[in-house]
Amino acid sequence: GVAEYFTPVLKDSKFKETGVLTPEEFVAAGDHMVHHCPTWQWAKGDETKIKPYLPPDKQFLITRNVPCYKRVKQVDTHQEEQEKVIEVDEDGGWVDTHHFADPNASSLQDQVAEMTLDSKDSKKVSNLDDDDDDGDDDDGDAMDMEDFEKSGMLEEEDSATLQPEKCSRQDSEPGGESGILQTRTYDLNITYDKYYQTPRLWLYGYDENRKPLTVEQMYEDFSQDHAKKTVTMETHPNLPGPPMASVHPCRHADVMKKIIQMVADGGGELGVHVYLMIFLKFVQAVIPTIEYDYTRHFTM
Amino acid sequence: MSGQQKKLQFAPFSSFLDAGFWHKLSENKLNVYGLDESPKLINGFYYNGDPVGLPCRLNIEYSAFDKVPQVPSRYFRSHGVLHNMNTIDKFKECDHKELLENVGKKVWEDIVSKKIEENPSLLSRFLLLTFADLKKYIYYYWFAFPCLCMPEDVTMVTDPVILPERLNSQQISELITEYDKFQSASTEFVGYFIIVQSKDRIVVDHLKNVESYSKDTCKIYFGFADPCTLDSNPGWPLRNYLLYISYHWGDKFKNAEILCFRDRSKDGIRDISHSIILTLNVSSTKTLTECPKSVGWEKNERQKLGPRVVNLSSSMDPVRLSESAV
Repeated sequence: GVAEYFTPVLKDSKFKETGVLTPEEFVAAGDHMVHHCPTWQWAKGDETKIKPYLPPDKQFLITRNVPCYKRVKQVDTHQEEQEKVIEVDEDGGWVDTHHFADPNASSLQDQVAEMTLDSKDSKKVSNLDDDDDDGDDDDGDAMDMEDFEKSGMLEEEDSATLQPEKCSRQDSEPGGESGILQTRTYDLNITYDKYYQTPRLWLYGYDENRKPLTVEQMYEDFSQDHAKKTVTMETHPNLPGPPMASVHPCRHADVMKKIIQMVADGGGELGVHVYLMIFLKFVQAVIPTIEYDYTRHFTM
Repeated sequence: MSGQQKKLQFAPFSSFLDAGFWHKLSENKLNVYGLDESPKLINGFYYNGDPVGLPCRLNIEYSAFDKVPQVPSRYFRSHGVLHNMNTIDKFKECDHKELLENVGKKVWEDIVSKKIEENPSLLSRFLLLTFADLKKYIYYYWFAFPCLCMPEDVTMVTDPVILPERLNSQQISELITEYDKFQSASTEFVGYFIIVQSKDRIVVDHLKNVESYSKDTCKIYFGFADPCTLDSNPGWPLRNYLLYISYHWGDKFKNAEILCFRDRSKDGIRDISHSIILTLNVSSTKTLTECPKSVGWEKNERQKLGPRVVNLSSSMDPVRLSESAV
C-alpha cells in the first residue's frame, strides 16, 4: 500500500523495546529457521516483485504441502473459560485459546518455555471421509470431464504401476505400514511486512484432489476466534496470481513484545534469531490443525 | 516369502500446481504465445521429505516458465514440456500416445548415450497438456510422467528393508554427512547417485564414477531421491533409472541394490532411517535396440485416465473479485 512506500526501512534494532524486526534481523531469523527446520526454505518469488530491502534470493520463506488432516471444528475443544485475552482492546485482542488448559502451564511464559518439550504430537486421522463426490460438481461451467476419459491406453494394463486406491483406506499410523492418505494440504509463506515491521504469514490451501481451496473452505482451517477477524485476503508481495489468505500482522509486534517481556521477567533473554520460531508457535493458535514444522530445542 | 518373488510396483507421481502457474500461463498465452501451439519447455520439481501418507508429488509453480529454473534447495528438478492447445477440441483430440512416446524416446536416447550420467535429472521428465479458457478462468489439464517399461517384470529378491536393517547408526550418520557433502558440491540437488560402502567408510558419488569402485571390495547401492512415503514401494523416479541400470550394469551386477533415499526433518531432527533398500532381479537390457513402450498419463480424481479441470473464476475473475471485495 501507500503507507509501505513511506515507511523507512528500520536500520537499528528495536526488537527488545517494541517487538519489531529490521529486514536484516528478518533474514538472520530466517537463516536460523531454515537451518534448523529444512522444510522451510528461502524463495525468490517473481522477478518483477523483488523487494530491494531484502537479498534477492531471500525474499520470503516457504514450506510446501503441509498436511492438514482435520477441520478445526473436528478438534475444537474450545471452551470459553480456557481463554485469556492477552491483549485487550476494542477489537478483542489476541486470544490465547488454550491459556488455562494445562494447570502446569499457567502463564504464557511457561508455555513458551515448554516449546522444547512440546513435541506437537500429531493426532492423525486415518479414515477421513473423503468419499464425498461433490468435488466434480463444483466446477460450474466446466464441461463434463467424463467425456474426456480414455480407455484402451497402455497405462490400464501396466501392472508395474501401484494402484493408489488399493491402499488409500488403510490405517496409517506414523511408523507403521502406510497408505496414501487423502488430505488437504497447505503451502505456507512468511514474508517481511515492511509497514508493520514483522513477519507475515500467508496460506494457500488445496483439497484432497489437489484443487485450490476457496476462501470459505480455508476458513474451516482457521480457529473461529480468528477467521474473518485476523485472516484477510490480500495480494502476496512476491507472488503472481490471485489474492491469498494472510494472518494480519497488526498484532504481531505487541504479542512478540509481551513474550520478550515475560521471558525477561523470568530472567531469560530472547535472541532475535529465534523470532520466527516463536512467531510460528503463536500463529498456531490461528491454524491449529495445519501441521507445519517449527519446533526445535533452543534455550531462552 | 516363499519361492514366489514379488513383483515391484511403483507409486506414481501426483501433480501439484499452484495458482501462480495458471496466472503465468494466462499471461503468456495473451502476451507471448498467441495462437502458437508449439511445445514449450517448463520446469517442475519434487521432494523426498514429505510426511508419511502424502502422495508422491511433482510441483509445478509460477516459476515453471523461468529461463533459469528456480529449483528450491533440497528439491529435485524435472524437465517438462507444455502443450497448450488453442481449443478444447484440439485438447481432447491430441494423440496422447504419440506425445508420450516422443518424450519416452528422448529418455531412451539419453540412457543409451549415457547423457544422463552428466545430467541425471534428464531421467525425470513430464508432459503437460493444457487448454486455458481465459474468459471463464477454467483450465483443463492432463499430466504425464513418461516412463519406459522394462521388457520383463522386475521382481524383488527379498522384501524391502528399511535403512537401519543394513547400516548401523554410525554408518547412517556417515551417510548423511557424505550425502550433504555430495549435494553441496553440485549447483543443484542431484536426484540420482551411488552409495559405496567399503569396510571402513561410506561414500556418495556420481553415477559416472561407478566403474572406479571395485565390486569385490565394496558394496554399491544405486541411490535416488525418493518422493514416495510408502513402506513397501518406491516412487516413480526409479522407473527410468532402472532401465539405465539394466542397460549399462545389468550384466555386471547379479542383483541390483537400490537405496530409495528419503530425507525428512521434523522438530529440528533430521531423519533418513525410513529410507528403504530394494534388492532386485534386473536382467540386462543391453541387447535392446528399440525404445521400450512408455506409460505415465496421470489418472484423474475418479482414478480414470482422463484430464482434470480447475475453475479459478472465484479468485481470478476481476468481476467476481470486485463483488466479494469489502
